Amino acid sequence: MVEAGRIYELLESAGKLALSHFLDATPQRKRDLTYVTEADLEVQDFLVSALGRLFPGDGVIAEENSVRKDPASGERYWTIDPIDGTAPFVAGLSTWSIGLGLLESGSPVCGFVYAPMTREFFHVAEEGGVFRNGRPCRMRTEDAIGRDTVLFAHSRVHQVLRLRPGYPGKVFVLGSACLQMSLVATGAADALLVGHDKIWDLAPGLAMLRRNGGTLRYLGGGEVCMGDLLSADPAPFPMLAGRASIIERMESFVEYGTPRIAV
Amino acid sequence: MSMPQAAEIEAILQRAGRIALEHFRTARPRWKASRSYVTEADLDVQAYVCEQLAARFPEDGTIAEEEELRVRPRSGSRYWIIDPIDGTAAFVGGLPVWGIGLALVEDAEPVAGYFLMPATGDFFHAEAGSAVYRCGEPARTREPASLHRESVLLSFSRLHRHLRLSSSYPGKVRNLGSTIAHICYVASGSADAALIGRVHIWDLAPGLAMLGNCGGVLHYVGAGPVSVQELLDGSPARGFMLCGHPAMVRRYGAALQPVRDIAAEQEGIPPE
Repeated sequence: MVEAGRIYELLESAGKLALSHFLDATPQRKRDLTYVTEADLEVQDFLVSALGRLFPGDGVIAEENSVRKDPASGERYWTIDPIDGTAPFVAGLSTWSIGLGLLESGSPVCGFVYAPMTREFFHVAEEGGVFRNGRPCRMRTEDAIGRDTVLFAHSRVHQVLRLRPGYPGKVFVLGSACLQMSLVATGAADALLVGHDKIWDLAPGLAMLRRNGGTLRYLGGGEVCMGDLLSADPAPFPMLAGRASIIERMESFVEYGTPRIAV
Repeated sequence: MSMPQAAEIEAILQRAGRIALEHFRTARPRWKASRSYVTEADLDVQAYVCEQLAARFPEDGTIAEEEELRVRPRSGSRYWIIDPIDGTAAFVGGLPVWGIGLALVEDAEPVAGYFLMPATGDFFHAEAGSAVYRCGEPARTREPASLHRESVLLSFSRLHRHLRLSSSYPGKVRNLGSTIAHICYVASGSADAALIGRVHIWDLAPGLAMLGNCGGVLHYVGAGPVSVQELLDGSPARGFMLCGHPAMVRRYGAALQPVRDIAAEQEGIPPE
């Protein structure tokens, strides 16, 4: 069994490591054109070795440098996103997080997300509810889409999709998929529009979302299966997360625009 | 009439921030006339800040968001502008980016601006002729550049109802939920520009004092500068606005178009 308290201690230490570079990080471009900093690498090294000591039989899939270790026994993989939201981190914004997911036979069973700037900890363990700072939280229950509906989105929506002006609610874009999915799973927002994210962005929040009765679907239909993303390839289509009844309604406000290649 | 000292203003805001944090995540909103959220925290924070400023600067006037509080100056032409919690929806939802905004306006010119973000511990300020400071360290606006993959535009939560950003804009768009935070982030170099809805003087004045000290501007989209004078009566800005380095304001202005949604008009959904 995974002890949430033990993971919290790990993430708190990892958060201190990241914070020691905050407002002082020099980014490098990766092959996929996203950013990486020394902070990402240090946090990842720390978490890979700590998880290796705690769970020596488990596999690891980590974001930076395609670190991958297959399980020595069983079928469990830890996903590690050392800093989800490296661009906000580099820019000095507060909305970045550290995400750990645990997959068993391709299904997310545990999720841990820590936001060091606000010292917020979201988690779901193998059993029990979904917690924000130790307090159990449920998802929002409002079915209608109105002025107070909150949709989280990703920062490049305008390049591919259009949100119809008839959507009466609000849109927030924090810049960290792990954090946004945790917030939807714990009732701070109604739904989340996700881009072509990868398994480490999705697994921790999806464990929380499913435990609380929510779902992650591709636009146009089809439940997202983490087993299909074990290769660390990006998800093939944009996705919506939330309760099924809300995301069905939300989908009617989302349409494909004309995709352009980013320059 | 004494000039404020950043340290004493920060001390007032830090105590107000503790009041706000006590309410954070347990706040229960109720509707106010303008249909945005008001909470007990807004009212408690505003009462505390007003009382402290009145004791310290008894000659000055006050314009505050909640209950449209307005006190004329006893002498001179200085007003303190107070937004007790900017980003109330973020506050109520338990999101990190919200804060307490304060500005000093003299002869309709913002001369000092302060913004404390209690959930993250950030404090931004600028005073007459000074740099913009983030947590005591001088910060700088980004150098203007062509719009590129990592350009960042900060936006507001109902942008999709009014304006559309060109799909050929190669950069990113974020909305963290607080206008003042967005302007502070632009002034201190965390983003390239901010697109702002039809907000009020208390959402603008703290950030305007900072922008003025770092070469930034606040313009109506595709038009000229925003004047504080016309907002002093508490009316909302007459259009959407962009702030940042003048070159960036021009570039982002060219990437925006108004939207029209026939379906929404038929459904009778009113504009903001």
